[in-house]
Amino acid sequence: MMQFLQNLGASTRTSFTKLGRATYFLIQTLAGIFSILIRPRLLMNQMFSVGVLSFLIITISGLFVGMVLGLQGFYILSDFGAEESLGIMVAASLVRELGPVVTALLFAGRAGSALTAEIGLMKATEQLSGMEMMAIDPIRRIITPRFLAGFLSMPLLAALFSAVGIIGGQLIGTGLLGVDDGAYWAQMQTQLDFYDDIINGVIKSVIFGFVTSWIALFEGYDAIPTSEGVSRATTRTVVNSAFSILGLDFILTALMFGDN
Amino acid sequence: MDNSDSSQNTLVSVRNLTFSRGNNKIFNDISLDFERGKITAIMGPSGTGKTTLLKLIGGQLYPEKGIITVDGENVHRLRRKELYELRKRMGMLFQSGALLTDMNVYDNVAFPLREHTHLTESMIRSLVLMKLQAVGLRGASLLMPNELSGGMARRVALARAIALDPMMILYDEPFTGQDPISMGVLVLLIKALNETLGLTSIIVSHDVCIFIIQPKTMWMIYYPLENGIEVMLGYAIANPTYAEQNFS
Ligand SMILES: Nc1ncnc2c1ncn2[C@@H]1O[C@H](COP(=O)(O)OP(=O)(O)OP(=O)(O)O)[C@@H](O)[C@H]1O
Ligand SMILES: [Mg+2]
Repeated sequence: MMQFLQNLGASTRTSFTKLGRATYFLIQTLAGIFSILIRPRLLMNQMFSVGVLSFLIITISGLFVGMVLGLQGFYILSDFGAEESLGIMVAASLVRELGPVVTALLFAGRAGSALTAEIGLMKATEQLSGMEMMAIDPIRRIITPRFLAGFLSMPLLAALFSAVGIIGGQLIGTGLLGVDDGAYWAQMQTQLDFYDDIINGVIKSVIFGFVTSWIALFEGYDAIPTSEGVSRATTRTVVNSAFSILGLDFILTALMFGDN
Repeated sequence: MDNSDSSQNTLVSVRNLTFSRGNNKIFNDISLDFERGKITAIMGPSGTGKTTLLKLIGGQLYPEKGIITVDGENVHRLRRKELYELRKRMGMLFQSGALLTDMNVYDNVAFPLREHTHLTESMIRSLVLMKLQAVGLRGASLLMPNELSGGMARRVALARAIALDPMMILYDEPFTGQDPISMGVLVLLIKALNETLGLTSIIVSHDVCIFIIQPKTMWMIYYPLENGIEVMLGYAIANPTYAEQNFS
């Protein structure tokens, strides 16, 4: 019993010190934002490797998710004779939920794990210490641009995901299952609310972008500088990001759509 | 009087330094000096704390007790900005080289220049090629770090360390993995940097090559006890002719 309490205390303390380190890390990262604005090139390069290189996986996944929504939505709605509402059903599911959430999950797997591995290996090969000794702050030079890039790419990728998904739903709905093309788009236009749906979706993906980039970069920066340490950190990035995304999604949804 | 004189000649002074890694006490109350404009060697078996000492001097690790001053400034009391200013005047050659793996040799050497100066690209180019020439790697400027051998990587790292013309260089094992020719190049370079530019050099090495350089002072780090808990440091060979008699 005593042993159990001791272990519990020790692990609680470890988690809290880690949380403290993570917060300090975040503050330092944010403090570097100004210096990035002077050198937008650093940000551009990272936007490319974090954002642009995730395009393909996001587009393909968005297309398939949209197509599945089209199929499932049609079967349910046609029971009520409401096939015309397929457009709004697909669009609302994507913009409110699936766009931000699935994009963030894919992002954590594709870009987040890569960021952790990159930073962890830079630490393991002393590149970060080397930079410090050259009087260059690795947080400003390496971490902040990657953080900003992740944070800014996420809403764009989520918008891409939703847009492609809506087209996927249309391909199936109107192309294959014979829903009226005009109704698909018209219902969407009239029913989808700019603030309630679109802005809330964007807010979600901005928050997910913030959290996933933070987790990925911190896990890399805090990794034990060995191959095993980096591999564990990469796993933790994907697992912790997924938990945070899904947990936060529930909270945000409750806050945003709770009063409807 | 004596005091001011010694601080004139001492660039780095370590006073009563105590440092532990976990329960392992690596330094226990050691004091040593490194003279300005001279070459000082640090020798000792693997794992005694030579790299650790360099990292303490560079301000990357914090001592438990004791004071380390570089050029009159207490390294561990400086504000972050002042520490970075001081580091601009220190070069450090890491044991592993620590090159940035996402850029080629040329960009690695140009990196500190681009970060810290406002030189034009053509000036940077001539400086970089000059430094690469000095380490005998001008022809390798377009290679990526993963295409270099360990010895080449360390020489590129040296070119990068001298890019900003520092007042002092800390070398961590510069000679390991070098063939006799490039070892000779390095020995001559380290000596030339010291003699022509008056650079203070602190060299960690257990290669006999260190004797050809004829360091002014040599510090040994060793375990005095069999079980190796306590580490003593500070056995100096203050007589440079010692090396000459034996090795030239
Ligand atoms: N990050 C670390 N965490 C814990 N202990 C460490 C760490 N780095 C080094 N040590 C310990 O500190 C001691 C000194 O290490 P250091 O790297 O300074 O040795 P060294 O004298 O440079 O050896 P070598 O000649 O092999 O490079 C070693 O016993 C090592 O076990
Ligand atoms: Mg070492």
